Amino acid sequence: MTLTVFCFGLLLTGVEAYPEKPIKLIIGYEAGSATDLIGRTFFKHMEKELGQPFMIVNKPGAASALALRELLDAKADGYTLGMSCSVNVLKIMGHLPKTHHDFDVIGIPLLTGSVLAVPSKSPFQSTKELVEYAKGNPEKLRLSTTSKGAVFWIHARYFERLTGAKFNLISNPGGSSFIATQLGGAHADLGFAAYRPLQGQIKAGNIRMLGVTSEKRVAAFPDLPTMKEQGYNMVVSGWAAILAPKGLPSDIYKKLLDAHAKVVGLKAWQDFCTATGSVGYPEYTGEGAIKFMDQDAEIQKPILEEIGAVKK
Amino acid sequence: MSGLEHLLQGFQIALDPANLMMCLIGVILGTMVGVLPGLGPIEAMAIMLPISIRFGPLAGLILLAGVWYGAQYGGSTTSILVNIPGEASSVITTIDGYQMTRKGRAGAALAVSAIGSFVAGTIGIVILQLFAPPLAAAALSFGPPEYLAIMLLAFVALSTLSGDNPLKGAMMIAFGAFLSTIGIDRIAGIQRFTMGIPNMMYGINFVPVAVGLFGIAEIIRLALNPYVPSPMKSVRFRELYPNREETRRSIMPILRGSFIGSLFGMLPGTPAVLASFTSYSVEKSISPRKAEFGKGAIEGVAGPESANNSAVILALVPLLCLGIPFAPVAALLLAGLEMHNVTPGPLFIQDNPDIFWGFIAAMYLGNFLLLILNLPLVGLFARVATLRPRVLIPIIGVLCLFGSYMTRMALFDVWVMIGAGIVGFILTRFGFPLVPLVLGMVLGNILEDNLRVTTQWLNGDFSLLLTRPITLVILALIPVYVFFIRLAGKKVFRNGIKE
Repeated sequence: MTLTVFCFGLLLTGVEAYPEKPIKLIIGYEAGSATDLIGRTFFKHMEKELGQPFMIVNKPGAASALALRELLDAKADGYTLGMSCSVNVLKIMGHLPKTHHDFDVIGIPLLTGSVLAVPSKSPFQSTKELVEYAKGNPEKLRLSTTSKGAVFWIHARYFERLTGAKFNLISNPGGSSFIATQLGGAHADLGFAAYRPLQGQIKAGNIRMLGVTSEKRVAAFPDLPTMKEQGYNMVVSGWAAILAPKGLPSDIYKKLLDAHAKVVGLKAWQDFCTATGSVGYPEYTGEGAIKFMDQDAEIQKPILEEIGAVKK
Repeated sequence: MSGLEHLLQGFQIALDPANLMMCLIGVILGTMVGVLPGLGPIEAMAIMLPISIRFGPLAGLILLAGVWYGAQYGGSTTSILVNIPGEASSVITTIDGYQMTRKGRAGAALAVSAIGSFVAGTIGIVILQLFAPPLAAAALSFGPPEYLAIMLLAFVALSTLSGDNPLKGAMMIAFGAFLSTIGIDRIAGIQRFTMGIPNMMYGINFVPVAVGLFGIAEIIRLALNPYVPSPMKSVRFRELYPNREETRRSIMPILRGSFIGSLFGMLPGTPAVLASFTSYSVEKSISPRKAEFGKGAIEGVAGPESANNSAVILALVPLLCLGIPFAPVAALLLAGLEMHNVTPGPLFIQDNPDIFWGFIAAMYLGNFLLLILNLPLVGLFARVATLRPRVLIPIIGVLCLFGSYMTRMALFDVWVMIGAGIVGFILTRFGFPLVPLVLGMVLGNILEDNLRVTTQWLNGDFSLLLTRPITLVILALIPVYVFFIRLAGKKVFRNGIKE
């Protein structure tokens, strides 16, 4: 009897106690990259919520597939988590034989819509004007964006598909500094990128935004109409998901989900989202995040197939 | 003289105990990550970023930037002492720095590198303070073809590094460029030469290759050669520091290095690496003592170690005055400022004079602190050079393992490092120079990126180049540079005969 009570007590404390040691977070991108900064800021708040420090490890390479491989090998005890921005398409790209359904999805702390930006001296005042001109002059306008297959490149391609316009797509390596320089110096005619790297040049008046691909208007620039408002049904975003190995004990999983939803709702996190031109929805926790990634994969798949990035 | 007035105000802000403390912590941390191979300023700054946010935009900026330029001071230490580059920008210092150590002049090499860093850092700040806005405007007016033209010019300037045997040197550059193509290509996202190995998708990392080529190859060399007692043993304190001759020979390379670094600092990518390589190449081309290079010429330490310092300072220009981070490290500084709703850009100096001038003043102080920190360390570090091989070999070995693993915590990189060490030892035995290989790895990526962005930009119409006067001028500078270098070389030759 005493033993049973003791065992039961032990079990109970085991549940109550999680987390009782530091948690490892594997980020699939370089230290200092956009996702790394999102992760480091978000987990500062998670630390306060869970009462244990996070140990952040950067494992860049193969669009986060290397980090996810390590996550798949980790114990499903809640002490190893990972971050990826492309877990839902790595399988069709042949980088990793798994999708987000092979992980326990904690959530998506923020979404970043693409902004369609032009140099300030550009004659185009609206997306419509630009699309009309581009349709009449295929491949004439230079569209500066990220590397082929990366999120903003996919958005640019999606824009072409939706509008029927054709651009001279310039894929740039690395972060978005190339795009900001090309737009700020008017070396390109338009660009698709995150708001954040363009921010300095936008505020300086060298770059102008024509639209954003988010679902609703973004708090950082409430006057900018969405693509949807301008008559183009283009709702896409860049995002980063927090994942755990499949098979977390249900109480630990629940604790992580609750913490995630709570932190996303915090004013401090919402302020961070606003400062970076992003949005954070507490409902993109667990199931909500999985559903979002399913839809996002459907948008990306035909574009990835088109460039031959899909492994049969 | 409102500039001076601003600067004095800046000093007032920077000397605030809290800001001074941040500056000190930053430069000490920077020196540490600089000394340790593999652990670069980016990793350290990413860890410090969430902490720095608590202290406000200026203190955070002072702290993070201190780590960055501090790392350039420490980077040369292991290059000089044990032939392992502490930072990518100190790879070139291994050539003559380590040879100086073998000749018993480790102290002089370390001291010159610290003094050169201080001078160049200070010159860099002066240029930043005076010319930041026009320089930033120039950077923005450069489009893809202009950047490509500059990279081509750099490539030509660096070709003198190919060693005594130009054919073997060219082969090594090509091999290095080939290594840089391995992995997921940065523009089209295609896998190249990965052979389906997941770890190869990230590519062959520069740090483990450099650590292996220089460090492991050195272990093998030490182990093979009988122990010769070091001449350092009976050296007195005063002799640790550069003598008059060495000082005299270092002055011009330091000044030239500062200038080269300032030019290269504005380029996207890895400005400090390019600057140090170019400075070495220039020093070697114009030196009357060409034969001494590679055998412990102090110019080969003074120039590059200065150039990388002014380069990191000038790399702040696009960040502060355009709001565009050209180097990955600058992106971290930008993030730190944005958290406080401070957006750098053309209006930054006007809107935030306190931050700008406080920061400038803090950098002057930081550079001075670094000099005070580093000069006494010279004596301590120089003792490493007197160690017996059986003590030294394990130290170098551990540093190599640590350095290659730390970059991204992958055992794969350790194997790359060991492989590079064995290949490096064999290549040296057959007279192939190693520096062009490393150079090929660095330049390969940069040239390819710029070439491919430019060809996309041109979209098949090369006549567009004729509409870009700046591109044409830079391209025209290439033959001018070659002519100038040839001429300088000939003059030296003639003088040599007269003597």
